[in-house]
Amino acid sequence: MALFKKKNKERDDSYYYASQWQLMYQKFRKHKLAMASAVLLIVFYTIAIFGNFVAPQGTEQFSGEYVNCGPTPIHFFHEGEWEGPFVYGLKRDRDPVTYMNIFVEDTEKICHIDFFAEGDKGGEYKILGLIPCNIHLFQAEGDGQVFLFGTDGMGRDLFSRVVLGAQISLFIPVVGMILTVALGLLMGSLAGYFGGWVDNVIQRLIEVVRSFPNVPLWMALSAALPATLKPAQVFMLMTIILSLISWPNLARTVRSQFFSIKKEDFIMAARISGAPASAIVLRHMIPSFLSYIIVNMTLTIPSLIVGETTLSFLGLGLRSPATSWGVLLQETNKLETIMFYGWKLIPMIFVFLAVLAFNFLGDGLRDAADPYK
Amino acid sequence: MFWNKKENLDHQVELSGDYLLEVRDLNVNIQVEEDTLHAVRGVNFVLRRGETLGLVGESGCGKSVTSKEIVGINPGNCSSKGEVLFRTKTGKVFNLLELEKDGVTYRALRGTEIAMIFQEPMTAFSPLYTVGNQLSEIILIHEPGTTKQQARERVLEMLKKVGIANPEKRIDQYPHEFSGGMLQRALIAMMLCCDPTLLIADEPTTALDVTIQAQILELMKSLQKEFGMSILFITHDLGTVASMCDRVAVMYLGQIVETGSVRQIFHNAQHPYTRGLLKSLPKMNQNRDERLYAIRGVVPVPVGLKPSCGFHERCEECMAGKCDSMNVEPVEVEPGHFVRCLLSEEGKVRA
Amino acid sequence: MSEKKVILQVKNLTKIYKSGKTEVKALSDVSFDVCEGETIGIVGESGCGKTTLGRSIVRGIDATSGEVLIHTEEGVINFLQATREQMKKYRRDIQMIFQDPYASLDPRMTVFDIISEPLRYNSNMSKKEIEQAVEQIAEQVGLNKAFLRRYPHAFSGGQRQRIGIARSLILQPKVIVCDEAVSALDVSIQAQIINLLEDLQKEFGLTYLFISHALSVVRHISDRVLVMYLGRAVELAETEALFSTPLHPYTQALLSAAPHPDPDVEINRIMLEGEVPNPANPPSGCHFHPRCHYKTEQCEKEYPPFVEKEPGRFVACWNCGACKAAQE
Repeated sequence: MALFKKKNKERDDSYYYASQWQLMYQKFRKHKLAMASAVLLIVFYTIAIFGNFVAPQGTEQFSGEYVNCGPTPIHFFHEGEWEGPFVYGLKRDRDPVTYMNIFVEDTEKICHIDFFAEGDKGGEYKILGLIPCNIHLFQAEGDGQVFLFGTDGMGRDLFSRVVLGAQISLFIPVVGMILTVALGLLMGSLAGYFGGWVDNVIQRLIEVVRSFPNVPLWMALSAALPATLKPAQVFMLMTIILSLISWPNLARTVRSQFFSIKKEDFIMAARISGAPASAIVLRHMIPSFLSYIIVNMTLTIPSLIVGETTLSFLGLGLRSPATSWGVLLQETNKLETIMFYGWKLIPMIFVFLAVLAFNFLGDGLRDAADPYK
Repeated sequence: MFWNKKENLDHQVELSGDYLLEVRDLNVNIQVEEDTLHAVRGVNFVLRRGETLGLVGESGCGKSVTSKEIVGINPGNCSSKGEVLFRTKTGKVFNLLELEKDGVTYRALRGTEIAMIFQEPMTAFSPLYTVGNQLSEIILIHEPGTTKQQARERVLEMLKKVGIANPEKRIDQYPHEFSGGMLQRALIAMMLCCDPTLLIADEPTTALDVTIQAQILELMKSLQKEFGMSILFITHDLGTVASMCDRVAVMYLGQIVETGSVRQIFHNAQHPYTRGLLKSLPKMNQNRDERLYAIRGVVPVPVGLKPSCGFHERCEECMAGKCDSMNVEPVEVEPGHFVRCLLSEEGKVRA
Repeated sequence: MSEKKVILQVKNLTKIYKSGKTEVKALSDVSFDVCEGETIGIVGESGCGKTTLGRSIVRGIDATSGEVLIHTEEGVINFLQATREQMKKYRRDIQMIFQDPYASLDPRMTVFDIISEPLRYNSNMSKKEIEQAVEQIAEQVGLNKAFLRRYPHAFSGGQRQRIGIARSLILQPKVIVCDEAVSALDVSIQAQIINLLEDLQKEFGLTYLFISHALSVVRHISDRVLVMYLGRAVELAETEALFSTPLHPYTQALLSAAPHPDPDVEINRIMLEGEVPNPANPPSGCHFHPRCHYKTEQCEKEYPPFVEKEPGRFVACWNCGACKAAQE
């Protein structure tokens, strides 16, 4: 037994001293899909934060001559010789069958891609909104163009718009989630702690809010927003609208947690040792369902992402030139887009990935949430 | 014949004499994350027809795992080795461990030959149907050709037999309308409907109050007399064992450390663990000022055990260099009384 | 009893649970005195109100009516209506040990935090003093000091119960309510904890209210025993007297049902008919009469008073004479 004990000793001891969070992390790490999702989300958010740096084009910019241009392939070899990453110049042409404008590669012209390129091609921006800067991750030299995901109907680089759109599409839900959680926690705690008529009123309110049909409500609320608002204000209002609709779920969770934990023996033990109500709530009750709240928060985000996308898609949220994933998808509501400009569906992949990743992350957290069961 | 021809049951196993059940060298491992728990380690016992064997031990000793292995309801993270031989009413002998857990044969055995009652009778009933419904369903499954009316009459008879007052009213009630003791009676009635030869009772009275517990034990004894089934009685409560069982097997850390008749165990315990257990129990006729004897330490976790007596860390008579370094085999100290202890010698009973 | 000092008096303690229109009397009119340094065993079957009684006494739940008087240097104080000031001072005098060693410890706190929690609210000790107090108490209940920074999930049931005992002792209480404190433990561990409780009682002069359904354990540990049935006290007597000649028919039946760990003990079991009635709808008169072998007409009409029938023996029965005669 000695051998075995020695081998297990370190693991065992750390287990005994492990707090709830350490136990949760140990369990979470075993959930491979959730770990991968967490990594993916970290990458997404990092790119979004440094969006202006990653995107070759700013929000307001467009290249009028390259309308509806497909993704430009990146080449490394020119006629069998290593050249490093470069793109060919683009020539306008006409499709012999449909007579539509298309762009073909001009293999005469080689434009190398510069990394960390300085220049006004991509426009100036402020890092984190503070430090002015005009360095971009990559840029084609001369008049070459890198359209990783192609361009839209106004000649704007779709890759840049996806990256910049992520700033809104990924952060609105987080702000919304914080508001949702604040509201949900407050209402849930009030209902759970006081019970009685307070509980009754809040319960009925929850039922009313939950029975609203979402889309018509959004439409009504958005119609009420004056068209003259700045994108930042629209952003804020949308967030508030979204969280006003989504708090009831969390409030229910918090309320039921309050009710079930109130009956636990260790709460009774704290009362008997003379703990005041505030200490019972803060030291015992909230910590014991904090993990559930975090899970709930994670699972709220995907619905808010979809919510934002839906609103913008319906033209009720942000409007061009401000951009979000929903705004980008607006263009895909025509059949011709899907037929001829398939690349315009690329933003959808990102919505899909982000929502999926948040759901997997939430699943992993939920499995890890109660290490004592 | 109800058993499935497809299952490979051709090789005949021997089960001697009047044995109904014989467990031979049963080992069960439970996989818990990275660790393998050796929950049952080489358990051997026999159960004769009409006999009650008590399987006693503290939590984690492997008594429940053993019983569940016999019925084939251990969860998927358990793996077992050994033989569990069972003789059916028709005289055919099965090694239960070789049967497919959800196969036709096993299911048929569980319905007609082996029955189990649990600590929490509530979990055995569906809250959606009346008790009578659930009982007659069992009759209808096991005795095709019975009419609904006949089944209902049988159920009424069974409910009466297990001492449920006012069965005509009770038969149409839902499980939640029954008290714990009533429900345990109904569960016993349900098990009687299958007319089993082997009844496995896993802590059947632990959740009940003393007065109800006494009633249920009396009921089980009288039913056993009437129907002649064998009972494997699993409990941690030595008091109920004394009044209920013919023979007792004491388990510790996945092994049976002592078996014998109920008198041999209670009056002439040989294994230091059995002795300690009996001494640590407050008795109704004991001098109250006497300090209770307490076995020191706690039950070790059955992970990565090396050859030794499982009890050596807590044993007051542990012999250094022997008990802690070699496996101990059981010896027969008197006819039918086996002890797994190095202090015991063949044919010699310690005072 | 007279030479002993009374420390706690329970008077007409009643607890009514209301849900909608139905009222359940979980506890009605329970009265008894507790002397300093003694152990009173409280026995009864599930639903008899013994847990409600324990929790009402420590103010874990609020009793509907009645008094719990504690005798202090400043005179007698009704614990249930104590002012905030008085509570601060006397809260520490009555503490509790719980049945379930898993549910009663907050899994998110270290053992040190659990044991020291009562001190946070009831003393002005410095960090250092708290640390010393916790270490001292841990040693006394047999917990390794080195393990104080661990979390409860690292401990077995018996060790957790030691943690619970340490928590209840840290305020140096006078009375401890042990609510099924050893029922969830294995036999070998149970004996360890019973011995520990007895040792601590001797050392600190503690008074125990020992609530349990295990009759042999109660008999072992208690000086006097209170038997409860359907929310009422039916018999209170010294342990020896109660176990040798129970005066209430229910006590008699209860004792006869207790299992003996000896196959040769012949017990004359008094089999009770039926089950404990629903407390929401108790039988008229004496609640026990539908199951009683000695019932008379009076039993169906009036509830018998809980009075001293013999010196030190309180019984609530109209016919305890007949019950006693039957045993002789």
